[in-house]
Amino acid sequence: MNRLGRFIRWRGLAAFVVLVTALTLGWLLLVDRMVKAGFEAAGTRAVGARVDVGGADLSLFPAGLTLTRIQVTDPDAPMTNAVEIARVAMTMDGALLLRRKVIVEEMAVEGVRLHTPRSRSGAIHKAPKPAREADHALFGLALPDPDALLREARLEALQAADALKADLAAFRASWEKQIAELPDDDDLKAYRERIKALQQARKGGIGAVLGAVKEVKALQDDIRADAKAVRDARQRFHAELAQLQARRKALQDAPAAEARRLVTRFAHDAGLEGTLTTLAFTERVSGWVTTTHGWYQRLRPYIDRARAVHDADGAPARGTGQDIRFPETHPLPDLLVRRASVSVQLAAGDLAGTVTNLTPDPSTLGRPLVFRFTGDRLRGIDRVAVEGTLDHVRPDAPRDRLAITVNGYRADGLALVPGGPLPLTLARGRVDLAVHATVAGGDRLAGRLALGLRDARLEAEGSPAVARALQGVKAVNAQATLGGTLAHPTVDVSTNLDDLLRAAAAEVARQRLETLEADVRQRLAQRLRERLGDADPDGLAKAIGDHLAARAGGLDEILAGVLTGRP
Amino acid sequence: MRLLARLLRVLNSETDPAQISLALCLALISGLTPLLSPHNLVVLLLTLVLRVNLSTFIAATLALSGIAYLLDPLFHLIGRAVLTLDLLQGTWTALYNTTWFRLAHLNNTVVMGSLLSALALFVPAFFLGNALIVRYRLHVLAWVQRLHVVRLLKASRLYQAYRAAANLRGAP
Repeated sequence: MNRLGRFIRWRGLAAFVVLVTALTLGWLLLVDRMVKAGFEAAGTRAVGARVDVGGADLSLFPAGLTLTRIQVTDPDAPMTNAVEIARVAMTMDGALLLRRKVIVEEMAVEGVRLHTPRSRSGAIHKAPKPAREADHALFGLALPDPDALLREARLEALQAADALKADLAAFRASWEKQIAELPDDDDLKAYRERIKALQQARKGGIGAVLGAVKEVKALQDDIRADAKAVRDARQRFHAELAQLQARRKALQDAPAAEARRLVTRFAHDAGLEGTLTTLAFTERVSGWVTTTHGWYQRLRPYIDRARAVHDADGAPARGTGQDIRFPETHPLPDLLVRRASVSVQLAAGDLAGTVTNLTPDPSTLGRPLVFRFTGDRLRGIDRVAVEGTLDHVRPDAPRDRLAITVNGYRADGLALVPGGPLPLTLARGRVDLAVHATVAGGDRLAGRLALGLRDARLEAEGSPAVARALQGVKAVNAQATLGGTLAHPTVDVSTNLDDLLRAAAAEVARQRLETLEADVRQRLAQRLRERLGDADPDGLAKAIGDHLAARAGGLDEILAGVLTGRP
Repeated sequence: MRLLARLLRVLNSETDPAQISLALCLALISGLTPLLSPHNLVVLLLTLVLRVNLSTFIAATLALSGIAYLLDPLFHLIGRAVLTLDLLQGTWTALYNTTWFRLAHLNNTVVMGSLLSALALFVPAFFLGNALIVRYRLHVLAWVQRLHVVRLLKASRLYQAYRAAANLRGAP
């Protein structure tokens, strides 16, 4: 062994070549599966539901990738694909791949279809469906259960009934005590005895007569004083009783007033003061904004990923570390699709468009994402155009813009208000739609929506009143102003049908609310009767008032007997 | 277990301590840094071409990979401190604009921190390893060989047959 041979193992060089060749071959054999699995895992993480890739084909010379049959599950409907793409083919810059930069010069996205059925569920976890907002149900004029309405209400009538019952009991106790202190039958009997004694005194001498006159005067004074006390008590009794009777009378009228108050408040809370069309469009537009917001939030990290900066805080996941970035001579994002040609297959025909500057790091690229799709001469639609920009070049002040134009959409049989007691259908008509919306600062929504119906024939099967109102309506214009935030959008809608339908809707609402009011009134009256029981001011008037009247009458009669000499 | 047995046999054999120590030092790089990093291809090439002990390299790489997982937060801190050092910003910026630096992923805190740690330990570990192996053979191995039970075991027919078989397979 020579000197070099003591340190070098030449067979090791061959072993290295064989080993590296074997590893390369293994990688080439497995890379397509790895790419497929990687896309599925990353897509599933991003969307929150399964993303399936039929196949992947990575080529090195030239650098390119083809993916086939990509299915993106709709997270809200796991048996439906939100998007299904037949084929995605892209060419990449091979030299930049060595610098860990995936720069796609040209991408073709072919056969995009929306809302296609899935053979198996794409759910990755069972999330509870958010409860529908109450106003959706109320929009359909679904009236509440009267008992439930009464339970939830703070019923002042029932509280007043309790107070009246207590006051009547106190009133009765008080007057029973006062009556006990007034002259009773024994006192009347004593007066009669004194009269008899005086009559016998007339038969004596002159002295006896003079003494009797004095007695008569004293007797009259006593009787008058007692009679006055009884009359005063009777007056006070009737005055106090009148108050209680007034309260009782008010309670009799309370169910009607209370029922009206409750039903009026319900109608206000339910928004029944608005018109059907306003409610319908508001619900539709709010639904669109909510759906858009859901997808925007899911995709946001991939169109606006914060850059890893030198002073980034927080420990990274174990084994991953943190990539420190330095100024580049020719700055480029780690991932960039310069231009993607997309064809979308709709039931009405094909939409074609382009997406440019698709990157999670637009601030490095310095240019916003721009998309533009158009479709002409589609079945049932004259023209569709969707365009917009997602400008996140300045991460602190992002500004996104969306414009949608639909011309001449033949919307025969379109349910404007589907289901419910007052379904409203566009039996025939052509729709023009224009939407302009911006999202500033990542959340602040502003926009306008204009919808026009031409050659329209509207049908309202559920209500003759609404159907009559719609007769002769050939054109409908609706405008909506969008505001608020993406999470909590505000939609202000007005249509030229408002005046027409307001009266019809009010009539329908009035009839239904009257039924509710009568029901509430009846149940409330029953409750009041049960609550008051035998507490009745009229009963007291009979029991105590008659007693006082009889007593006063008795005293007056005795006094008259004294004056006439006939006890 | 088989790998550990082979490692012990290497330690107990006449293999040059430098071959074992160098294998250990190369394993420091491949074990402490992320295994699939491109620089580990160079380490593999050196391991196969230089006359270092392969059993030691494999066993040490496996053991150190486990230790590296525990030391990962430390490597991140070291890498971040070095990569954000004001004094070196010009150097890193120049290197960042080269393909090999990006391909090696040396702008990653864990890759940089673990590689620097491994390189810093490389030379001390070589000499320390050498010294420990020599001392082991001089003291521990000699003491073990003198044990009565070991002498009985080595004199047994079973051990003689095993030695003969091992020699036939060319084991060290």
